[in-house]
Amino acid sequence: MTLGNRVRFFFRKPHNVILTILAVSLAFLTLLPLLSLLKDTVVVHPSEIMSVKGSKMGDLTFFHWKKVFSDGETSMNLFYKPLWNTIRVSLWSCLIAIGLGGGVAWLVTRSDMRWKPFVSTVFIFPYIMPSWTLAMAWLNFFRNRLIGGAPGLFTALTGIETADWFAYGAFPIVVVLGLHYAPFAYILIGGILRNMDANLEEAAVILKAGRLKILSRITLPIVMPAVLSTFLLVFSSCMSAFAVPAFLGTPVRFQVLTTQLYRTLNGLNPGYGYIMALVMIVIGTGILMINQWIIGKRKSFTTVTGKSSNISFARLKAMRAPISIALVAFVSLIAILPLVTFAIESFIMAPGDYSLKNLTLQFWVGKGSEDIGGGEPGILLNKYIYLGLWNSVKLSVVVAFVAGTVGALTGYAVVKARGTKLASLVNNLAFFPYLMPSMAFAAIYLSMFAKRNLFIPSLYGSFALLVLVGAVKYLPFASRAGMNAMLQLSNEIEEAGLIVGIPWWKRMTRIIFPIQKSSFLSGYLLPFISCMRELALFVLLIVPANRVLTTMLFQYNEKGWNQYANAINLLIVLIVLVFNTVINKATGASIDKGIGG
Amino acid sequence: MKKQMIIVALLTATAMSVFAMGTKEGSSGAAPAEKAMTHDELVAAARAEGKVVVYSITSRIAGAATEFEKLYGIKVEASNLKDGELIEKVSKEVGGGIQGADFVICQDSGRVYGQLIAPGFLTNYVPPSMKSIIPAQYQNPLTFQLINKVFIFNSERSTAPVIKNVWELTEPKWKGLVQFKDPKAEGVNANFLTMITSPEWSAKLDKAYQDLYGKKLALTTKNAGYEWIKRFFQNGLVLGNSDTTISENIGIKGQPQTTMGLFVYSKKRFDAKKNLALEPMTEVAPFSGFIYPAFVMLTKNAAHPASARLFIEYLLTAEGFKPWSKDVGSYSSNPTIPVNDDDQPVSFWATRLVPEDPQYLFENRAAVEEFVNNITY
Amino acid sequence: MPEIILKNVSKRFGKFVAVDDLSMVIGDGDFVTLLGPSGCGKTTTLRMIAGLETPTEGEILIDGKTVFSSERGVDVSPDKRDVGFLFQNYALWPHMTVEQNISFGLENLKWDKERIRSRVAELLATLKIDQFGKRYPSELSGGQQQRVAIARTLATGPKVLFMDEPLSNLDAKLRTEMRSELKRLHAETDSTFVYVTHDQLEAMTLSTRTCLMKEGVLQQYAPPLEVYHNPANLFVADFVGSPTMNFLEGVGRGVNLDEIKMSVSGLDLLFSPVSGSITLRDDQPIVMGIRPEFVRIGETGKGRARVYAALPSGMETVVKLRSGDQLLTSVVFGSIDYEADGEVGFGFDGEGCVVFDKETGANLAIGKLAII
Repeated sequence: MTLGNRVRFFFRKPHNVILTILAVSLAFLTLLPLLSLLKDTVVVHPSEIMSVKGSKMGDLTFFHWKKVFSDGETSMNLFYKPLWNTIRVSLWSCLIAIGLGGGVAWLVTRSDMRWKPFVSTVFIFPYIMPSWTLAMAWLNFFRNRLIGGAPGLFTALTGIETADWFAYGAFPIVVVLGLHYAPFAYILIGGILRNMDANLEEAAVILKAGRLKILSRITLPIVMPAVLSTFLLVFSSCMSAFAVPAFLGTPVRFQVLTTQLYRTLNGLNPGYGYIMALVMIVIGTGILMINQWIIGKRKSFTTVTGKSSNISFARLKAMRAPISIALVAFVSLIAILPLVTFAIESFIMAPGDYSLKNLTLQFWVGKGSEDIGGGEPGILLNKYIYLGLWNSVKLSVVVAFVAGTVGALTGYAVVKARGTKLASLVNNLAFFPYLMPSMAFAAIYLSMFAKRNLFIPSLYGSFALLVLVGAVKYLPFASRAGMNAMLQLSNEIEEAGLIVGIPWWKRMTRIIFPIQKSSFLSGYLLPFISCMRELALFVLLIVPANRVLTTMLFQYNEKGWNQYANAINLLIVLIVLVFNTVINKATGASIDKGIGG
Repeated sequence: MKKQMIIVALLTATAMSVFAMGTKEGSSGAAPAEKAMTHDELVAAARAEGKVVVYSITSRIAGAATEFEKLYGIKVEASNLKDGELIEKVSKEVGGGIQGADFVICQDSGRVYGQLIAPGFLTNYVPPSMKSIIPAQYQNPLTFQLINKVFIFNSERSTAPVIKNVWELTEPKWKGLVQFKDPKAEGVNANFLTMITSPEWSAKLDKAYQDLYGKKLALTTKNAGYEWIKRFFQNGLVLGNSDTTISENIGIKGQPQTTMGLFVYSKKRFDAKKNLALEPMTEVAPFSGFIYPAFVMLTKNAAHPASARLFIEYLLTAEGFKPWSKDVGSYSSNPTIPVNDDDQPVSFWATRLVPEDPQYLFENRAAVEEFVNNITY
Repeated sequence: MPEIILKNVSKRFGKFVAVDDLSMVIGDGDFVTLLGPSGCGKTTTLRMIAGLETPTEGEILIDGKTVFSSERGVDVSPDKRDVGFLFQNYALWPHMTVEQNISFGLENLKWDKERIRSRVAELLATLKIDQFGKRYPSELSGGQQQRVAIARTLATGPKVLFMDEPLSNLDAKLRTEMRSELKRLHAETDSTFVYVTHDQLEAMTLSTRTCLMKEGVLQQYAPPLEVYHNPANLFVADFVGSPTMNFLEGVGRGVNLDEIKMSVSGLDLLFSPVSGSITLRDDQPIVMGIRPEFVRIGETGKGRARVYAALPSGMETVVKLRSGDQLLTSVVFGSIDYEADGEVGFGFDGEGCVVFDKETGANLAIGKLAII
């Protein structure tokens, strides 16, 4: 067959066209940034002419590499200690997340615990809420005099001054990250437990094995690969978390890689930051490869299928009521109490004084007075808040639309062409942004698109740049959702349309999409929610005209206008929760479909 | 030894080249090619442009903008940025050929010289009406105002100064009670630390140590400046992200121990409004704080140059400076604008505070930052 | 009228050759089954003819029109080939009712509403599912879903109908029932059917011609009875027929011009070809293939064997015999229960025994077999 014909036949298939377009554009949007990042580690940036003596902007230099990796104490403080901190914190957070998430998953899927619907709904909240939510709540509760004159609610209520190690640094970071990612572990492990054939356990029951023995000898070994894979995913998520260590670690100068990244990218030596970003990408890729290897190796284990229609729940007996009550209380504590503290903090005038006479509506509906927060009116009267809110919603909707649609197409094309080199290339490219730390990703996009780039005009400060970076960053979620949707759909379903001459777009919109509506919509929902609560990705790219709620929150927080920050945070959390619930109820889409899989 | 020589030579070369470039750019900026317009022509040109964009390190630009809009009917887009952020933004925008700000109010002289003035991103403009009024030393680059950060303590118990010598801050009695803005968060703070490592200030610190303790300072670092920084930071220094928060933390009443901080003098204004107890100290040896300039300059590719010039001129008048002069801690480069009644003139502060030396900063800031990083993080 | 011609069609997935240089002609009105074990390339072949898969090489013509040619760069899309396709899993669109499933393709052809309605009604009646028109597929049984799928496939009136193991998801009883429905449908619609199955019984009972494939290579393309009685090679002989053919391996020796003598585990056999002649090399390894119905049990038989197991199924009884270390399968009409380990005599009947070359598997001759 001639080459020309071969190419022609190839492009007759819509999925090949999609794959080719995706491969080219994703290479441009993910591989090029990586190259750009590599370049950024060896050139002199404008702010570095002070440290790289005698250099000009843009000169080639190995100064950054030397400083980060082999300059004695400097490298120690700059890189090795934060790296060690990152690993330590991530490991412990993982243990908490998996212990807690796995435990709740077991209780919900396998025991006769009460109030399961409430627990399973509310337990997810911390994951839907912005990641700093719990961190801020922690500070609201436990902050001591170290950072601010005004101690937190806990001290105000009990009179006990919290210790520094308890209020700031590794301990609270571990606890908060663990709680934040526990729902993630819950979703992943719960998914496996739910799909696990109950017969496997029932067979053991018939052999008169005890409950505990079944758990340890049957259930655990079967879910182990999933747990391991959850462990790795949670680990890499913890590793790239920025907001939590930034809020809780900074007061005691506890640095992890992400906070170092932020400090260096915004400081005099962005070159250091780019190297750290590279290191994080390498670690992330490594973790992912191990994960793939585990899943690949024990495939027969993880894809436990079968319809476990009637599982005989483990009887908690006497412990049923105590466990149920404790779990409900705990879930409320981590999901609802933070919101309460934001509310409280946003209603008090002078920080640290929780008496009734100190309550005020100033920060919600106040007119704005010179001496409070630089004369800003309360957030419900502040036109900038509405602008930010509008920008946030607009951005999230557009990003969700772009990421969701491209993700659905990616999922479609990759699944259709499963097994081909092109498909796995696109699959990997679409997943790659997941490994890029948000902050570094944004920094690279900033430097790539600040100038005219090929045919793309300068996007600096534009809404389009925010959309682009958001859409690419969240594509992994959307493409995974799209892929899950397509994998559950037999190829024949589409071919049945093809054979009777239904054109491609109509097959997509009238057959494929409607059938897998909830899965595909999950691919839209997750980017939407992530975008609404995103900070690290946008903080470097925002200009005043297109600021969004989260960056405003961060600014208010940096300025020390705590009440505004709390009020805005409450606003963000409520919006995200309401959107999630409404979309979930209306369409059946849910965030677990994007990550579960 | 040989290596050191090379480094010194390199340093000198860099510094010289930077300053050579600086003056060259500066002079070309100071004498713009176009004919000097009369004030009325400028107003007309500015009105024709109808708009001006300014990036500023001081949030009070918003107040001045409102008044300027009222006066001339020219729309102002003012953004308040942190100093490092502003420098990065301008270097990206002007370097990338993007039209952002028309003029900027910036600080952090070492970086401003090296990163913005040397590559020609900013051009100097002194309004003709100000040439004879503003002292020559403030004209290139044109200084908008001077700002000071001073040791301020909680005066709830007593208004008597709590220290006489900066070395007292390295003593256990002040452990964990002193607050300072994170030098990473704002460049001028790092500049202050850099300046005190200079031969002049480290000598003064050395002497102050001897005066206080009657013995020679035993060095574990390069000089007395570094030594003080190290001991100051390691004495449980609390680093904040915002001068406002620090002022509240220090000034709040009912604290078990007296606290103090080194922060912007202008926060003293919260005293009454926020019911805080703040008292500055002006007689600490060898310095009571530091003082630094904020420059006002045009960008190379300003889209609204006439409006920018008009606004700059306005900011240098008593009326335009009102948002700043109504409080303490801001000193216009225009000597005809009187300082706030409760404040002291620049001449008073000049002898008590550490100033900025752009050349020294440019050469040494990176080393000091690295040093600070190593003892803090 | 629709005649399908495949010329040197190949399909490779990377290094794996799914279909290798396949040439065949499917005549107008034929009911052709593509038969073979899984992975033999039969489904790929079907999908290539339908246009769902692009061949790597070759040419395909439907009704005299080239629908695919790698040389000339022709690749007509499936909907332009005027074919229908019945999928293994029915591929009913779960979000549409039965009626919508059937009418969706017609709407797309811009038929007017009235015409669509009458066509749908007609199809529902033909397939005896009129009462389910408003239901969703998930509310139907497997057999009903199958009928809906057929109705949908027939809706546009394709001249060629492709079916990919359409009955494999049905239970045994339904399958038998649907088989006759399909045969009836073939007669009624007067179209060409191409049918993929791995079930040789389905192939035997349904088709006018059977195409047997193995590892992408065509083994035999002939009417089913010819395939049964005159298998092209060992593979075909083994694949077709239930219970499977008996195979006796040994070394043959030519005697009396074109007769062959061989001895297998104590049995001395003489083979005489029915037509033509056969010559063997000396000591050529051969395989003797004997269909179970040609193994006759009776005291007159010269062979002696012990009953290994008897499997009566009412109409017939399958008896496994052990002679020496050789197991032979025999089919006896009626239900006779042989006692296990009882001794019986046996012989060979008919003229349908086959000699294969052991090395190549090729059919060498057909003829009579006798025990001497």
